[in-house]
Amino acid sequence: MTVAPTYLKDLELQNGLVPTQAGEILYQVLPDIEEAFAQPSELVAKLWSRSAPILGGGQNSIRGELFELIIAIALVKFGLRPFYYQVKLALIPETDYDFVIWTRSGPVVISAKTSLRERIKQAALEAVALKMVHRRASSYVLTLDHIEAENANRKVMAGDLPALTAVIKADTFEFDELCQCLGQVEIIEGPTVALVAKSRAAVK
Amino acid sequence: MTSKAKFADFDLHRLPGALKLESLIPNILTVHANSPSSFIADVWEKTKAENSAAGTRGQNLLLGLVALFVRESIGPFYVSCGVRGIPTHTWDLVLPHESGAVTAISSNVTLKERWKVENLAAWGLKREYELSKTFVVVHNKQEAANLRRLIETNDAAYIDSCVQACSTDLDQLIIELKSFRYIERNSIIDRGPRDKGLGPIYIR
Repeated sequence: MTVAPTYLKDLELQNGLVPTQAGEILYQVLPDIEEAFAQPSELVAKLWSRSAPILGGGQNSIRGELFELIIAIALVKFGLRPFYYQVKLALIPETDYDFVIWTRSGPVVISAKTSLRERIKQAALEAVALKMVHRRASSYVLTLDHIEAENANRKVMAGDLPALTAVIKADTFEFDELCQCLGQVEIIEGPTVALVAKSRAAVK
Repeated sequence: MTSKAKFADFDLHRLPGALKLESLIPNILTVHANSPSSFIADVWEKTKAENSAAGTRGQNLLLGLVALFVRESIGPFYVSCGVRGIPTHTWDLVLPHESGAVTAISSNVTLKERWKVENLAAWGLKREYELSKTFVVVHNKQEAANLRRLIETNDAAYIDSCVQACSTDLDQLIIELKSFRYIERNSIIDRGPRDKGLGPIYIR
């Protein structure tokens, strides 16, 4: 008898009692989380291509969530922990960042988007908001859309998307390099900040 | 303003679709209307046949608002511009105040999830320019009501108000906009990478 995988729950990547549709698909394409992959980009490319026949053409929201879960698994398997998934950061309103990794020099935010189109503007504005609060923050967009990634990176280089650090093709060596860079810095838990920094007295 | 005033008199003929709209409504800057909202409703009605594509609908709504600002002598204003300090975001209308604050207006036929981007941009604007205001004009009645609810519940707390383009709420907004004194302030205006933005538009 085979035992159904539960690693999403064990990793706290699953909210409810049962996995979402995207989670179910991930379990189908990666039944054993111990499966070995040489590089993060190989993991993304293999899992995404295994998912393609199940996903078909439509189901955009499931595709988006599945892509996020695959990135999460890549971060776990390549030791980039702790990371925060679907995060609201204090002092930045109405923004859900897909992944936040906290380093000694500030937050590194990763947005996972299967395709970019107009969403690059939203990611860019979210990066601006992040920089307003955390001046030394980095913001990356991970995508599978190679053409739009190239276009967006040209805008980043030209300074048209100034707060974005880079747009990274998740199934190429670019993602491996990002993971390698993040692996070389100390990853810490996100700090909790007192909103009253200092006062002469607290008069009650 | 003379009864023969044209978009070209204000340099507005450079806006996409302006000459086409003026050919449909030749005296758009001077034609009689009972109120600002009835003027926008008239523009919408007269461009109905042209408004098959989403881009054209949005363009005509913005041109209607631009014409309204000229008719109501609200200005100087900038069209399709960003504001220094909040890179990557473009507002449809920007009016720098004498006080240093900025009023930014976004016009949309429909909003969907874009209210989140508008709210984040409004937060950035308030952060960079104290006492700034952000208004959203929407044509879709249901979406205008939805955003108003989100403003009331503080989910879109940084947007000052949302008005439906053909309702009396727009008349109130025009009264509010007329209560401020605006100035030319090119130093804070970002006309975008291809210099798409226009202004300052002076009302003579």
